[in-house]
Amino acid sequence: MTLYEGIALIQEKQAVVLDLGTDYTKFGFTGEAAPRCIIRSEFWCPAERRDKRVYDYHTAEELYDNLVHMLHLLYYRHVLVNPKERKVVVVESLLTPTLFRETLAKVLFTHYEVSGVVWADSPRLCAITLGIPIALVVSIGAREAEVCAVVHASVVLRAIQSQPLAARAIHDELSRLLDEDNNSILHLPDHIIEDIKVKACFVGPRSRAVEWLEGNGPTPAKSVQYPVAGRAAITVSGRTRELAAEPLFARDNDMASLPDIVLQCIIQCPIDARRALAENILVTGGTASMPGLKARLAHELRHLVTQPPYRGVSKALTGLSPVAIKTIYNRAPDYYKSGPHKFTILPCPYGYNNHMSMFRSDRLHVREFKFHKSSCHDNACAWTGGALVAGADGGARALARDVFTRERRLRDWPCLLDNTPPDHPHRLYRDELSISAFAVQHNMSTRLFFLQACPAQRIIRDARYLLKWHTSRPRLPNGWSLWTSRPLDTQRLVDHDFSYGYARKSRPQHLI
Amino acid sequence: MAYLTQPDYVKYVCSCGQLKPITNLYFCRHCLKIRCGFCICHEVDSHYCANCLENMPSSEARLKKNRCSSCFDCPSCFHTLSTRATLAQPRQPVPDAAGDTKVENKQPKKMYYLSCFNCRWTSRDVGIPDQPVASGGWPERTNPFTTRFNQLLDYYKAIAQQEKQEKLERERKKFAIRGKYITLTDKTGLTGAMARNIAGLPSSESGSSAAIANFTPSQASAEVEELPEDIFTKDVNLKLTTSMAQRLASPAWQPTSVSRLHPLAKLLSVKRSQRCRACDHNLTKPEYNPGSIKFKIELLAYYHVPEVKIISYETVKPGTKSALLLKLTNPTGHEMTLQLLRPEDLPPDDKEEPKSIEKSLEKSLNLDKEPSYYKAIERRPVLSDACRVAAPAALLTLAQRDDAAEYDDDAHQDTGGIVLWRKSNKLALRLEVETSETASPGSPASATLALQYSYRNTVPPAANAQPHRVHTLYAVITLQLGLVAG
Repeated sequence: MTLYEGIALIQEKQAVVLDLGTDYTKFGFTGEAAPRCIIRSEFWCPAERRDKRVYDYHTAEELYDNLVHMLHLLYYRHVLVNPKERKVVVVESLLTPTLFRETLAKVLFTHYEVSGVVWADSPRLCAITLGIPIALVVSIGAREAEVCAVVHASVVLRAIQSQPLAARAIHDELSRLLDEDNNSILHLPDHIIEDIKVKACFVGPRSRAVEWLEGNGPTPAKSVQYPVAGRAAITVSGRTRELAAEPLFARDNDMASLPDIVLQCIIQCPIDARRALAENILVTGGTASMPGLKARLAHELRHLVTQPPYRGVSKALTGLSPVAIKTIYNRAPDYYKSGPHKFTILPCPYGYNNHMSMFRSDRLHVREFKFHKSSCHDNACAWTGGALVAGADGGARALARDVFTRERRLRDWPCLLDNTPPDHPHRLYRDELSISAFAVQHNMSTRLFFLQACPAQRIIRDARYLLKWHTSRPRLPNGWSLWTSRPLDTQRLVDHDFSYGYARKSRPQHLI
Repeated sequence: MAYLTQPDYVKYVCSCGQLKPITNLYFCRHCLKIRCGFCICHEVDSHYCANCLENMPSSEARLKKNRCSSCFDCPSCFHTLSTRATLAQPRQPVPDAAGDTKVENKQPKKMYYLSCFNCRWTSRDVGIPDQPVASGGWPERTNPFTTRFNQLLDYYKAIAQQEKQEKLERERKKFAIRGKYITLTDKTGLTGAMARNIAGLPSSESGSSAAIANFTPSQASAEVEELPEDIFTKDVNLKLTTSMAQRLASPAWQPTSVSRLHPLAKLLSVKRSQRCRACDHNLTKPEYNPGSIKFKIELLAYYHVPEVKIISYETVKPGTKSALLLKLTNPTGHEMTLQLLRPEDLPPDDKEEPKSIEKSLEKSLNLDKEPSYYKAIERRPVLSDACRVAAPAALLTLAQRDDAAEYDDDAHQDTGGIVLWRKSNKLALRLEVETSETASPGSPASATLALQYSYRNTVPPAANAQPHRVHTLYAVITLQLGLVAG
């Protein structure tokens, strides 16, 4: 008997998985199929006498306090374990602000004294719940819709798409439509808007949406009276119920609607992965469970792929000789700012490195879209992936506490210290390179900024150089690529050591 | 004093820089510092159900996923469910084929169901059969995704195993010593393989590789779940769809329809003990019994630090002096000498305590406890200096707390000086608040005050230390004196 107890003592404590979403926090143990709790990301703040949201912060200190309070709530009210000497899996977006990440690390390591933290990004974790090597993860959360391509356990970083098309956009539209329905400004609180959305709203099919857009709408669904305490009931018309989620699909010249960013993500991926990506789409996130949303996204994708610019060579380029195209290519930035063909060129949301997309994406070689059904609820998909990963290897990839206390920094993909290829000349001078340059990049508020890489400051020059190095493949001496970290034929567990990938295997880019 | 429903008018500055009312503070007898919930370490002591006050050992709690087995919450309004008993109707006499009636089960049987007294939800609403026993035995649901999840888990475990083995093999190859003779005994693992072969057992790797081979990845399909056809024609009944809170209360199922709601087993609560981060001594330790609200150890600031209460104050105006009446209480069992100071007159924090060789040795061994890690927690308190309490140089003495003296009525009127009256361990002071010219009208008037007080250490001393040392300690206090008048 005593022997067994001894073994139990030696055994590693079951790790916890933390997914701190903008609206809802998922928290539970590894190796379990569902989180123990899904609660709103807010806590009672006695100083301000109100429920305070975790993401409601202005300074690093305020964020630190918020996180301490939130984790206290999670550990001692919901999961009921000691945080001390227990590993944590943090599920995070690739675009989490650096400040948030580092503050969370500080809170976990110094305040709660956890023994290790596995930093895992949500797209790869979502892909893990499917058990497939290539997946296109469309995650629609509270604030943003993110589209990431996961190819053989690495994320195609330069193809990440992110737009504010998620629950907030729907809530805004819903409250606008409700005001229209009731002919007054209602000023409904957020939780009522959310409740109306959950109970009454749905996403109609494309055919009906087109009818609505043309003015003579189809027969609307039944309207409903929503009772609100202390005031007259609110009318929710059939039109409102159906059109609340329309902003996600509304197209304009920016081509930043949800189906558009899905296609753009596919376009910016290596050509040999595109078809596989289109046939392995996973739509997740809390908002994805809105009735009809997945079906609508499928309709829109199948329609859009037959439309320019996703099909056929850009009009601007047809009939031009290769030399002419090459000239345009060389002058591209000026050209598309002022040229007469501005509208025919695929817009490049992240500027600089993407203006080439019009050349490589003149035809999206995709005919079919297939969708996965995940083996968990939509809102806990990334969480489940985290529970799987750390459950499988016991959190062996965790950043240990003593390592963190020694180095005082986290590995991060936008940081040059971590993303310089091993045989890059800068690698030799890594330590001699100006620390300030690294500091600048490391403190960027949004990771997206790195992808943009637009500012002309000299200090960013190194970053831009590297970015070119990563993205324009024909120039690379020996085929480094950012998109795969593993040989294509093997299928491995996600490597959480930030091997966003420098693999030797790459195919020629579909360039002119 | 702190109030339950009102804002905290008097706040103390914790050693970590947080401002808290005295009832939220702890006092570490070993570091002689004020601590608060933010800068101490919380630990889970014991699990119990807050409804039935039943203790649950932590190993059992882990097995039951921190849920009580006999108490349930309403899935609709989250109120506690009550068990109701009914008498089951005896079976109707059924005429037999032969014509004679057979009566079974004449005795009415007691059956139980769960009911919410708040929203009138019952377990019968969702078709859960009544139970013959009052507690327990309610049908349990299994997570529909568990099977798939376990498949995935096995698959990834096998992969992790394989990766580990490959890594080991690589290491082994790296360090393999090429001797003259081939040994079959060690390192290569060949003996084991041979032994298995002879015994006719499958090779050791087959376990993981079988899990990998048998795994079926998720299949994508072109069909996506479309909206139900009748959604455009059907009336909506808001009461039949669950709200977000109702869905998320059971994360594994997340029912969308009210008919799928299921009683929620009550989440356990924990008793926590608190520990000082600096010296690892317990600050509070609750009694094990869930029904008891007492503590085995409770080092609360309320019992060790002089308490300040505001009796009354004049409205604060910029550039003037206003009167302020304070009451000080000595909660300790020893006489206390007190002096009011201005916060800036406090001696600088003596971080470097007189340390013995043993202590420094201990520190160097205990690498984890770096001082730098305490810095992340430490805050610089924001103290406004618009108002300040004039600190008279007088040295005040406060008698020890005496429960018998509570029954004395006559307060000892003190004339002259700043002492208004005196009564056993309490003392009222007449003070002045100076407000600077620059204080903007309408802003909250908060005055800061520092207290120097003597504290008799009652920790049982170590063998060689002198007993009962008297220490001089300091506390910084902010007083909320309403708003600055215009």
